[in-house]
Amino acid sequence: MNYLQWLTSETKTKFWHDSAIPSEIDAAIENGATGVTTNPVLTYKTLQAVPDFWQPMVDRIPKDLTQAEHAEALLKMVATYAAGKFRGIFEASNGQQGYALGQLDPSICMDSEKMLAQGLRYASWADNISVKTPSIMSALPLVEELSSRGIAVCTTVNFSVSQAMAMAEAYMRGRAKAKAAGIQPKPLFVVQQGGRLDEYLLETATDSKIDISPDVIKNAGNAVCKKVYNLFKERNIPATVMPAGLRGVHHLTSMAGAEMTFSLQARIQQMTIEADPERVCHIDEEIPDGTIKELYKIPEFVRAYEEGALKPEEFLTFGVTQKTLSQFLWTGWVPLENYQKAPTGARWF
Amino acid sequence: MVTNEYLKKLSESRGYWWTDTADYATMDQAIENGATGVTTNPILVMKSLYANPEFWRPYLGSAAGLTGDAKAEEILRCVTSEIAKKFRPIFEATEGAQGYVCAQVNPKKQGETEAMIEMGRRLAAWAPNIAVKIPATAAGIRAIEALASEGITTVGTVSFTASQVVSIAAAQQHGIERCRAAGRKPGAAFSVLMVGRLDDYLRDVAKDMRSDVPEADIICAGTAAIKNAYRACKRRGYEAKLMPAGMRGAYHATALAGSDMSFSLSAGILDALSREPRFVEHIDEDVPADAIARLRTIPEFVRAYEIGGLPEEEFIRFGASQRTLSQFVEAGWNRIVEFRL
Repeated sequence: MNYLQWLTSETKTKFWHDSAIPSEIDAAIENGATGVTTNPVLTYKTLQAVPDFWQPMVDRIPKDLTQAEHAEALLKMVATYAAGKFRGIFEASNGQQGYALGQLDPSICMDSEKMLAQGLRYASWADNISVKTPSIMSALPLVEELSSRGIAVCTTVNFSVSQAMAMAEAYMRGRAKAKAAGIQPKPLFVVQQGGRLDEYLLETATDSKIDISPDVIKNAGNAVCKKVYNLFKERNIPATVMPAGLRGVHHLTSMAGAEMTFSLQARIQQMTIEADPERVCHIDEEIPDGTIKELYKIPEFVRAYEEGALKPEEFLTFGVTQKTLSQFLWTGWVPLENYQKAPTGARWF
Repeated sequence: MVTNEYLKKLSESRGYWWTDTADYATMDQAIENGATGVTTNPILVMKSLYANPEFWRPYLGSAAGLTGDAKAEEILRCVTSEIAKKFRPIFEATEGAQGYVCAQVNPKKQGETEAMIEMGRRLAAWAPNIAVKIPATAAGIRAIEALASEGITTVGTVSFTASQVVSIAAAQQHGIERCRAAGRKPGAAFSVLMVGRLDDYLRDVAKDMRSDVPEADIICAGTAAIKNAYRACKRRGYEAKLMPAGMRGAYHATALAGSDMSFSLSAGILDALSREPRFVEHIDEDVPADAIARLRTIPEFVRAYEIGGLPEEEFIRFGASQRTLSQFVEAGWNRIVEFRL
C-alpha cells in the first residue's frame, strides 16, 4: 500500500486528480482518487498533451460557434469525459464524491446573471458535474441559487478566510432552501490555493522590504487553510475544504488525516508516493504562534487571515485574485477560444 | 496606414507620439506620420514574433541554444535593437530627447529592485536609444531612480494611478539631479498611465459592486487620473514626459491634445484618429465634476485618481497591476520563451 492508498483508506482524507489527461486519471483512480479537477487551463493542457485522443470529439463540435461558445464546447467535451470516469463513485457515495468540475468563463465572473446562466448550462452536462466559480462578491447569489437547486458547487480563486466564510454562508442559505423544498443538498467544495497565496505574499513582502524569512511565508497558505477548516467544524458547516495548487509534499503531509479533499497534480502524487512519508496524521498540530506573529508583519497576510478583513467587494480587487483570474484567462480560456480557430484579436492586449 | 492628418498635427503641437507595436513592417510609415519612438512590452514582442516568424528568425540566431529567461532576453535584444536602428536618426537629431525604443525588464521580477537594476543596465547597453521600461511597484520606483542616476533613459510602466505617475516622475527627477551633480548627461524620462486598462478594471469592479455609474463616466476615469497627474507634475517642475498608453478609443488621445505628453498609440487608435475631423486642444478642459462625483462612489477610482490615493507599498497590490503583470508573464514573456527558433 503506498502513502496515497493509506491516506485515502485509513484516514478521513480524500483526494481528487488534478488534470484531464486520460491515462493520468486512470492511474489516480488506482491510488484512490474520488474526483477530478477540470478547468480551462487543464482542458487546454490535455488537448495539447494528447491531441489525437480528443480530435474525433473536437471534430463533432459545430464550426459556426462564437469564440466563447467554442471554448465552452471544449470544456464540456473534457469535463463530461472525466465525469464519466467517476460516475460509479458518485452513485456509490450518494453524490458526496465522484465529481468533475465545470469552471466559469473568468471574464464574466463579475456578472451574477451571466454566471448563473452559464452555471446552469454546466450543471445540465451530467449529474456529477460541480459548478466551479471564483470566490468574488458576484458569485454569492450563484452559490446560493445552485445549492438551493441541489447542484454541487466548487468555489475557487480563494485565498482568504473572509472569502471562504462568505461562500460557505451563501451555501448554507441555499442548502436550507433545498431542504425546505425536499431537494437533497449536494456538497460545497471550498478550494484553498495556499501555494499561490504564499507566492503573492513573498512578492509583496520583498517589494516592501519586510524583514521576514521566505521559509516563514511558506506557512501562510496552510495557516489560512487550517483556520477555515476549524471554523467550518466549530460552526457545523458541512462544506469540504479542498487544498489545491500544492507546491510540495509538505503541503499534503502537514494536513494528513483532515476531513479534506485534496486536489493533487500527477507530479505531486508521484513525489508523495516516492517520498513515502511517515504514516502519521498531522492535522491537529497547530502552526506555532511565533510563526503567525511573524506573518502579521505582512499586511496582505492579515487581510487573508482575519475573518472579515476583506470586505465582499474587495474579493475581486485583492491582488492575488486579479493575478489568478488573469492567468486563467490567458493560459486557459483564451487558448480554448482560439483552439484550432484563427484568433480574431477581439481582446485588448 | 496612410498619411494621417491628425497625427501630423499632433506632432506639430507640443505633443509627441510613439508607435505601440513591435511590428517591424509598420515602422517607416509611423515615422512618416511623425512617430518619435516605439513602446514595446513582452506581449507586443510576442505578437510580432508569432505574426511574422519567418521575418524574425534570421535575426534571432544568437538565441539558439538558450533556454528560459536568458532565451527571452536575447530574443528581446535582437528584436529591440533592430527596431532601434530605425529611430536612431531621430534620437540624434533631438539630442536624446526623443527617438527611443522601449525594452521592458522581466515582469516576473517586479518586486525585486536589484534584479531590475541589473537587467535595466543590460537592456540600456543594447543601443544608445533604448528606454528601459520598469513596472511602477515600490521596488520598481527604487530601480528607476538608480537607473536614472546613471544617465539611463527610463519609462515607468504598469501604472494606472495618479500616485504612480507622480512617484515615477519624482524618482526620475531625483535620479536626473544626482546624475547632473556627478557631472554626467542625464537620460530622458517618461511616466506612463495605462488609461484604458484603468477603465477596463474599474468597469469590472463597478459591475461586481452593482454600481450604477454609467459607461460614459467609466471611459473618463483614466483620462481624469492622467490629467490630475499631469498638473501635479507640472506644479512640481518634474522633467518627465507623461505617456498615456493602453488607449481604447480616439477619445483617450483627443482629450489630452495640446499637452506635451508622449502618446503611445496602437494600430487601432491610429486608425481611429485618422477619422478625426480636426485637431482641437482639450488638455485644459476638466472631466466634468458630476462625472468625477459619480466615479468617486467606486473606491478603486478614488485610489487611482487622488495624488497619494495609493501609497507606494500598495502599487504592487493594486488589482490592475496584478492583472496586467500576470498577462505580461503568461501571454507575453512565457510565450517568447516557447518561441520556436
